[in-house]
Amino acid sequence: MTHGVSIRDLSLSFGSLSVIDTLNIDIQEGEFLVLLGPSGCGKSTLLNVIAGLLEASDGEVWISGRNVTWEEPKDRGIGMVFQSYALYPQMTVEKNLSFGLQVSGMAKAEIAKRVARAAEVLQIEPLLKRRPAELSGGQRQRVAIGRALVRDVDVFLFDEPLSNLDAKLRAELRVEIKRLHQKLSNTMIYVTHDQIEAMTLADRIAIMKGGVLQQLDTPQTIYSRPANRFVAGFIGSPGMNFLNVELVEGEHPVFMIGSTFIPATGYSFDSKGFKAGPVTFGVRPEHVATGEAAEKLPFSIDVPIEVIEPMGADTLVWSRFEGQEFTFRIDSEHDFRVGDQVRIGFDPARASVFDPNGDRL
Amino acid sequence: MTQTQNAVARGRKPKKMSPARYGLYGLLVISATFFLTPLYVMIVTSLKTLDEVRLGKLFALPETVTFDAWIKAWSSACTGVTCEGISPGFVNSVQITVVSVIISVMLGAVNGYALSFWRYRGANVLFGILVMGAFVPFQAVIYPLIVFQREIGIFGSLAGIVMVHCIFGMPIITLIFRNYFASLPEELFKAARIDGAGFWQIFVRIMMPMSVPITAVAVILQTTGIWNDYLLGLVFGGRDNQPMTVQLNNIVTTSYGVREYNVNMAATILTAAVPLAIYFLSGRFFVKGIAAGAVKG
Repeated sequence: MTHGVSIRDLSLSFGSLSVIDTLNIDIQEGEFLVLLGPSGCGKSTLLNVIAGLLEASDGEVWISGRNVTWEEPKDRGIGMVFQSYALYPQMTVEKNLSFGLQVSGMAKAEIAKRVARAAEVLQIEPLLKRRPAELSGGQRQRVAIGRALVRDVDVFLFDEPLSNLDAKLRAELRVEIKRLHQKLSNTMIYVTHDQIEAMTLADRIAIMKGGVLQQLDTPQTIYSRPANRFVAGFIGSPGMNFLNVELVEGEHPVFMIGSTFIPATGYSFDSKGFKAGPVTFGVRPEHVATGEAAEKLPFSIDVPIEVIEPMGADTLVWSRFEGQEFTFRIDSEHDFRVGDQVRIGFDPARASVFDPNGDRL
Repeated sequence: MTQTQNAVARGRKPKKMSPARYGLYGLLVISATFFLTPLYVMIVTSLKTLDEVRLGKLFALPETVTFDAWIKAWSSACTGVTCEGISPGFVNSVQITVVSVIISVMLGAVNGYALSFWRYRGANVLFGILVMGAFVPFQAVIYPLIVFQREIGIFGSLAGIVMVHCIFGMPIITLIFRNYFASLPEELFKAARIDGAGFWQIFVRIMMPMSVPITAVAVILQTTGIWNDYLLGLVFGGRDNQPMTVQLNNIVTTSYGVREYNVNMAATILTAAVPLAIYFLSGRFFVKGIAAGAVKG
């Protein structure tokens, strides 16, 4: 079977600086893949290489079953949407949409047909005669998507398309992009540093750091079974609690933290298996229960409340667990005070344990 | 005291002229007068008869206003062997300036565009060399250039003088355009490449329409520079292409007969009129273009 896009042993370095290091990713046809990572992790660079705007130092790029490593951007069957929209300022929206088709020498009637269809899909028909300066940010980004749309390509590339918009508009356009993908079912590769965008849009997320792929999996797996400590810390807001504990062997293995023992029996260890010694024990703040619910879980303990941050929908509580910082989320209806002792509990089966190298156990 | 002052403070703060302000305006008036006085003298002198000029009343207004000196300067003053005024020089200058400005600005624009978007190996080195070219005193390379132009057979022709102006204008015009293009978002260029446009299509259809203000700056700089040039015109223009500045010099430094100060003044004003008019008509555009290049695209 052919993949939508295939990255094979791809490397890219500028001089002695390696930006991407022997990367391999296969993207299914029609898949929505999100490249996620902190700034400088090589995700945008990778997108530029796929687009043909940057030359790979080594490796291959395959699109729709064709090796396009040496092809020009226009011959790769891709459309690209940029963060700064990159609309041609002196052209009307209509000209912006038709420029690429005109350059390729397409017949006028066909151009008009395609522009009309793209305008209809994106609901920008009333804007066709305007110039980019007369459009709002959201409208500009719609036009930019339209420019990729008219090209009738197999693969869409998005380079942080929503980063320049305000929060409300970003949420709106996010849904629109998802709708567009459901309607067109093209392969889409989407670069972002926003984990909400990644979680909501992606079929699969590829998390990168320092030019190296950290984990490539569905959003749910990445959230609940992060492959290493970096991924665990990057995904989720507020971030995961990391406790330094000792994994102790025995009939009933436990995680020992100070004088407290957390049962390890419920935790399903990775194929690498059980390794006694110092480990990092990660619990997400939203997986912590309080009060009566806490008692029912395999592990519970009393902790003091240090800071309370109400966020409206819920409240974030900062406390201390055997001297280590520990946060958890509670319902905003709870009436806790700073200094109170509160019973918290969690299920070790939902936790993530990492060895000293940061890899999941 | 301050308490009561704050009590009445409400709305817009009243403007007050401080002594420092008076001093500042005074200084501005003095410097404006300093630079405008020569212009005033030139204008009144050019409107006087030669007899009146001889009275030596430099600042006096003319008793009878006459344009004879202007007419003579334009059409019958002697510039060396011929006595046709500086009108032939005007035509020459227009020819040299128009052709040189068009070619040099186009070359500079393409250079700047290639240097900022099509980064090839050694582009930065080339740019460094080009900028250094702006600091080479042109007197130093005049002689080799004369020999070179003689060998290819264009010395003393319009093509020769135009070529010289293009060469000497290239560093600064390239610099201006490169810096302007470097300020444009690179994503615009990437988008155009994805759209399939090539080197020239991106330049002509995307980049140049966005470069109107900076092109205006380049045109103004080159026009005034080339129009005001004297040395290159004298050396490379040959007998048939002497620009206005050279003919003006010939009128003013004539070594026989009486010194017709009124004619000299009129000829000078006529020669300076073109760059002056350009600054007055396009000053706002000029500032706008420079600001656009400096701040954003």
